[in-house]
Amino acid sequence: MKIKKSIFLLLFAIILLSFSGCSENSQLHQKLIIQGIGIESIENEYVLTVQALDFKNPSKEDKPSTKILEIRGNSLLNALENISKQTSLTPVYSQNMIIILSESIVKNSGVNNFIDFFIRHFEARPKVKICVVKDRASEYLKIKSEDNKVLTAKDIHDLIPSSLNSDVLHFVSNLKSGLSNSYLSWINIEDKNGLKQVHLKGVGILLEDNLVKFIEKDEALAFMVLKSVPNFGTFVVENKNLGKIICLLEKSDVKTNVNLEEGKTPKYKINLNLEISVFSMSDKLEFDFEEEIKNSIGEEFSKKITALCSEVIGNFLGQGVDVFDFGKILKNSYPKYFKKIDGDWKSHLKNCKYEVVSKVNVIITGKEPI
Amino acid sequence: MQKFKAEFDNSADLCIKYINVGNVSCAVITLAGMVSKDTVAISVVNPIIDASVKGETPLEKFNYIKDYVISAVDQTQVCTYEDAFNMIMSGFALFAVDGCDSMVALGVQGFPVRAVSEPSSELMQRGSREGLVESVNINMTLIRKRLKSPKLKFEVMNLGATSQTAVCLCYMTNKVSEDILKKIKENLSKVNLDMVIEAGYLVPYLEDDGDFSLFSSVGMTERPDTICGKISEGRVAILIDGTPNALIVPYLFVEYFQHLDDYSMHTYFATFTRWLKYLAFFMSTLLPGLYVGISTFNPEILPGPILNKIALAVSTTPFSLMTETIFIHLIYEIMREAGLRIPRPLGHAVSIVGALVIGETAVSSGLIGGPTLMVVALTAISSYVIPNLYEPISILKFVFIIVGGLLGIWGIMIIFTAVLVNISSKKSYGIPFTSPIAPFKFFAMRDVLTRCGWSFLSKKNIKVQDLPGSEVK
Amino acid sequence: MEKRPCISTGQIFSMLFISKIVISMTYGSLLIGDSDIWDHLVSVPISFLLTFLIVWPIYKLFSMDKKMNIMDNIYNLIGKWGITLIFIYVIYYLVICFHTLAVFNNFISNAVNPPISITFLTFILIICSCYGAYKGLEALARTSSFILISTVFSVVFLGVSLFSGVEVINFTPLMYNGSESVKEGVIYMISQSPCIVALAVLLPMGKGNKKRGIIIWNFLVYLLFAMIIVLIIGSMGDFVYTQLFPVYTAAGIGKFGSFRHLDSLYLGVWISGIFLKLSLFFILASEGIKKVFGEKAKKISIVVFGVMMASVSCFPSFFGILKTSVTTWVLFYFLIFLSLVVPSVLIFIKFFKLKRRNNIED
Repeated sequence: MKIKKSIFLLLFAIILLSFSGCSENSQLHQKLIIQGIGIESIENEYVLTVQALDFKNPSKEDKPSTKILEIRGNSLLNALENISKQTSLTPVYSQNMIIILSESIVKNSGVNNFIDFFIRHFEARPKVKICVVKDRASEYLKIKSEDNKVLTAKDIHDLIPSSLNSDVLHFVSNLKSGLSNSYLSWINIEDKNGLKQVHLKGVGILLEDNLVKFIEKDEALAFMVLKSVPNFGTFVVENKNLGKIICLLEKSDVKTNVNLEEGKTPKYKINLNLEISVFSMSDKLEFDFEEEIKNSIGEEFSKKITALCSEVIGNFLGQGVDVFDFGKILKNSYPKYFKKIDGDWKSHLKNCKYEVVSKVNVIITGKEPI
Repeated sequence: MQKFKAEFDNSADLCIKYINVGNVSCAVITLAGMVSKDTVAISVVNPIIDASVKGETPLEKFNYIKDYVISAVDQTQVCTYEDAFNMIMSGFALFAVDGCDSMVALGVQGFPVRAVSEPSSELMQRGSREGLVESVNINMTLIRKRLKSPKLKFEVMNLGATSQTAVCLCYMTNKVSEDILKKIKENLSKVNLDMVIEAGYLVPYLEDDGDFSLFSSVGMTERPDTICGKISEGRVAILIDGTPNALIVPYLFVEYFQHLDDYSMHTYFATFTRWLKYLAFFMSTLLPGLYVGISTFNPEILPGPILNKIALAVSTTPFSLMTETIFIHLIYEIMREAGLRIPRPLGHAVSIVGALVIGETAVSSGLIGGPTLMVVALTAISSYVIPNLYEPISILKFVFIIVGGLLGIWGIMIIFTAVLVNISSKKSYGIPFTSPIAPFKFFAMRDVLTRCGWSFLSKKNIKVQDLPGSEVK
Repeated sequence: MEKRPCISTGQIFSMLFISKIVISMTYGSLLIGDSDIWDHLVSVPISFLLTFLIVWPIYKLFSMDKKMNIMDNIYNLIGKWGITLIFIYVIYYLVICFHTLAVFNNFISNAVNPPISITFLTFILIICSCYGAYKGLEALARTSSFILISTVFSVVFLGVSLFSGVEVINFTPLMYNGSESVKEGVIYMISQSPCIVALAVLLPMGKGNKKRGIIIWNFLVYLLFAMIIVLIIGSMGDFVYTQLFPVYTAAGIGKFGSFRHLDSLYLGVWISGIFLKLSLFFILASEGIKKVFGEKAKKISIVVFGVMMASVSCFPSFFGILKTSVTTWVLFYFLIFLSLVVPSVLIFIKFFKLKRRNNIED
């Protein structure tokens, strides 16, 4: 019995040792741990800008030091392959936090040409945030912050609110659904007192897999409200008694219902349940924190936001763009009806009716004059 | 007397005191140092010299002296030389009368024994400071004075062809399983050793199944109170003369995590420390392997800042993470062994060398990474929490480091499951080693996953043979 | 009388539950093709009820003589001619091992793609599984308790982490595109229940209430399936259909406080489950060998099975053939034959023999 055991153990050891060479593992510092990827197209070539952890030049602070690589290729896959050729490091995508797409690549060649890698690669994470920029994607990964340090991919990642669902998972889900249109968060560089700052400017809307338009300012504000994204920007509400009031959206709860009217036209009712904080207002009128005043501000805000949202929805519907999942809602509520129009949903979209109803809860946080 | 002199080859410690009683020659045979000289003089030699012995024949005189003259209480009649040699070597004095075919062994032991002191390997925060000593008789006393029950039984046998070491089975007749007791005796009868010097000699014989396992199903303790607790649950303690360690069988896996201190603490804290021990076990076994495996193959699991620190450390060291981890663990094991064996005055030197060489120089010279050193330190500290499991842990951690370095967390999980199978396949005297977790008994969890209060613990005394999956009754 | 391993009913069903979970975790387009995952929610209650129907003959046969497993019954009722049938059972158990290894191989190469040789990893898995089988059913049953605890914890952990990400809008109408997917779902779920055939051997080895065990096990298995479907569809929507192994992807997106990338947790539990399943089916196959060739052959057969599996995994082309030929339908027909047809025939023969004996006695 002991001889048998010894033979077994010996065989096991031989197998273990003889196969140990099969491991192609590289040590951690021999890997290129990618934090952010910028993709753009220049002269019919894919230009990939990669922000990765730099282990050769460690920073003395807690923040890891990063390095920027720019790689070109005929296709995205080719460019990605070139990373290891250029650096002799094994790229690791699992720590990637952000994908920045330039307008040119999303508008011209379409997303389907390269997004597959981020869906199927075993290291790719579906919750990686994805955004679009109007200028070169590489600029955003190279931009230096106040302390003359490169803005990390994590900083850009944190700029995009999670509730906007601007990640690979939701982006691809909408792209593949055939009903809803995909959208990407749009970030921009602004020059403030000679210092470049990155901020979330609005949203880029896609038709099929091509970028068709950017929305910003009030349109973007309404979009964010309808997507339940709080703290995007401030709303200025004019009130004849109180003057200018600046409001910040703290919470947005959107419920959309659909009804089929007699003529079989879907009518959507969008209920907005909002919570706003009033952090600044003019000093025209003395007032206390009374219910009446809150209601007054709420009504003004409600009017404004209802009008704004109605306008945005109307614009989208008019262009046959479904970014608010109207198709899915109709499909879930009236599957039999939807089955009849399934193939032609986008043309039906233009005929859909809608109504925006809002209920606003006001929190007064101060009455500082502007 | 010639026989004795011949057998002992005139050994220097053999003392024979001849006394003439009338016309009959008598002798008191002892081994110097094994008996108390005073006791021999007061209760054996003096009374014989002073007495007026009645009887005509040597046998009558022998019986008279044995019954009316010698005042020693412990008297055993010995008829064979073999028994006589055993007795004399156990510290008895032999009284022989010329012309008689038997002798009497007198209990006048007086060999030097170590005083009862606190066991160094099983310290307790609260509780008794008494630990077992090398003498089996004193150990029996220590147990008896804690368990004042007539059901407590000691059974002594001699093991070792040459050493003839006294081995004492200690159990409670109303609690122990007859099957278990029978099996233990059977196993002990198979001991074919020449010398039984230490408790560890008997462990392989007491392991019930022949299969290889890293974990032992024979417990070891230095505390008489622990023995009392164990035998009151139907277990059998085995005291071995000459060693302060008692063996306990059957011994289950969960018992490695139970300590007598748990029962003197608040229940919530005892439960907390018990979970700490479970955590420490997993940490000490798996942490270095997981560290190597994850850092090499699955860096995505690690949060960014930790990953960055590990990568920075690895980039400055000349070895791969696996080699580095094995290397530091080996150095640590060498230092631990040196610390154990080295004469105490030199102990400080080892500490200084260890702290300076490994802690300072190796890291600052870039030979070893800081995170690796941290992992090794954590592993070492965790393994001290369950000292009884140190042996399997120290081997397993090396196995997991190698597997982690070659196969990543997938390999670690496969080998870990294989270790689980190994533990689960083990039985201790018909009781599954993993009982009462697998097979599961909810009621028994009161002292496994938690340490319930005494009001609940005392509700029903679960005997070891009553545990789920037990084949013995 | 030979000594049979004696384990509790709970242990039997925990082993079977884990065996089922490992396949549920690889649930995805690789095994179900283009079928609509969401429609499989309707398949769940149907499969749940069908399982009872399929298990019934095995249970009935067992309840007629609680000491005999299906192989004893075949041997006693059909005699030496029954050896062929016993071999069919052995082959089925081995096919399940092949299938499990194929799924493992596919999963590791597609979803994880580690920088190590997958053949090497498969080798180690096979060797360790053989060791598990060699240690016997009791050891495996006890190990399953530990694995079950970790499995339940990780499933709950994953469930909770994914629950917050569930979006109701992703729940489209059931059977929107007809009932074809439901049918495919039922076939898939039943075909991936080799545990039913395993029960034919395991039932006589357990102590306890088997009827209750079967009900609870079946209920939990399909409850888990329903949960998986709801969670992956709810949290990923149409993204599910782009993934080969959506449950694995879902584990990767789930987060619980600061804990992220829970797919590693998933992997750990999954590999332990694969280990247990392989060992269990090695044991079941070796039980057949024992019945024909005796106790000694049983232990040798485990090594032979291990060598067989290892050799197959060494030749990728052959393994590929096996992977493609052992389709859902093949497994389904195999399962129906072994769990419904054979036990029913045996019940009939047994009943007939009993009646004839009673007539003679009268």
